[in-house]
Amino acid sequence: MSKTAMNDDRALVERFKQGDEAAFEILVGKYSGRAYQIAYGVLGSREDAEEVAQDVFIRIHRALPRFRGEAEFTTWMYRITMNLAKNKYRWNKIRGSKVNISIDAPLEGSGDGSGEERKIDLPDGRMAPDAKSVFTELEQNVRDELDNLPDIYREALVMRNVEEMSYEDIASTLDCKLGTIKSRIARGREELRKRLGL
Amino acid sequence: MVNAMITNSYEHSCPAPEHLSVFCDCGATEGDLEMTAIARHVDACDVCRRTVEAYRQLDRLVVAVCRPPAGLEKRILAAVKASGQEPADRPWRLRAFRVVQAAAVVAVLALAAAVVMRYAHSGSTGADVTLAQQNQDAGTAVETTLAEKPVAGEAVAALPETRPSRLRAAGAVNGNDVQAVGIDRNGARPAAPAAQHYLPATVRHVWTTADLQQGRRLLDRLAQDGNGAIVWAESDSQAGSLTGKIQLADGKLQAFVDSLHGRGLQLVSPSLPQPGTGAKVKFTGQAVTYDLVLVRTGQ
Repeated sequence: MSKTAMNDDRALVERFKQGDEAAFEILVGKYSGRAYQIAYGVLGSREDAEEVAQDVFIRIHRALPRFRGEAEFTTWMYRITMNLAKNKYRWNKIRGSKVNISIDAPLEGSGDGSGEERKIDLPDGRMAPDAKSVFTELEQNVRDELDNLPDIYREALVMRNVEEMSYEDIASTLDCKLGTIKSRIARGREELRKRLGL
Repeated sequence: MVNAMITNSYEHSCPAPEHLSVFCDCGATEGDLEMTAIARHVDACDVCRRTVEAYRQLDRLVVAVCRPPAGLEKRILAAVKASGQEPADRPWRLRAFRVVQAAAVVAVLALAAAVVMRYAHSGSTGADVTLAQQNQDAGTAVETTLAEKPVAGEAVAALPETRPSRLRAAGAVNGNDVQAVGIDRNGARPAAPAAQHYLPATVRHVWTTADLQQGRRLLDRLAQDGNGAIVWAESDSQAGSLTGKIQLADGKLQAFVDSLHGRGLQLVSPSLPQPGTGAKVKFTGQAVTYDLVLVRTGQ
């Protein structure tokens, strides 16, 4: 991140501390996408990532007046996002929410005792038309495979490709050795390539 | 020879995928012999060139699919606004929070001490009882270790100078008592309190039911009980689903979801609120737009 951008962030934080809510809105505009992407890297679920991104900025809004600026705003935001995303991940794991349910699978407690499968008639418009048109079939496949990629690979890949973080920064953020990060990124790429047949 | 070239992967002297991946990210600079060697190899080797191209294509696709959803910023700002929290920097508020926090710690410690005292006094001999549960059934014989101990409240000076002899005895202990002193009867550790989450401004859930019209009537009735009304989208009577929308306070939404689940509808969406997860949601009284899709289950 450039010095100008850091100074901009400091100025925005100061403005917010003086009571300027618009400064906070600018910060949300600048960093909401990043918070979402970091959370998505950890969680592999768009809905959960959005929930975390919302939670991140609710907390930042509450805590920003106490933010003393010892660390950069972005570093602080990354830390909050990672913590919340990991909490959510653990919570999901306990709750077992990240289960892929086949729509052809028999419904739990179908109750008729016949043992026959019951299918769900899904409505046609589950994905909004605008969202649907954006995704090509290949992108949709990448999306699915990325969701199913082991978490440690997805996390590193998203940080590298989407956040454009250096290997060193990723290692420091995830508290790992540099070699581990190189290996995770490589394995993630190789795994995706194989799964997608590229 | 450069390490990367020795670490053969699948072709004759091709670099390992890890080195190709690093090359893909960092490229080759003049002073970097290893990456320069890989660059030369990639130029000459079809397999590795295709691998590097595939990695680059994947990188672009990963960036594309990780795009934040449209309107994210707007929804975040709405959630911040709806959370109804003023910045918590007010010194008096911080101090009050810390006082309450300290009081809570003291209260918990006092409660724990009271519980310990109660059980210390509960035996007629004032014995400290350690239980090793051997069976889950009530009234099962368990191995009991009794240690002589002065009655609580006795002066420390009155403690015997030598270590008290420990007696081992077998006796019957009621299973309820075992649970009462904090030992899980199944031997499992008690679960840590679950984290709490805010509901987003909009929640979309898909419910399944055997009879769409019956399900719709049930939903309408429950919505009325919660002082709301579902606005149903126009749909073809032959359609296998119905789509509706209702605004409810977050607490009422949890109750609504619990009621639907309790009346036999099945929720197939993973997002909060889930039936019975009231303790995991922070209720702020904010209005939540609940988009619900009612889907008929086919045979």
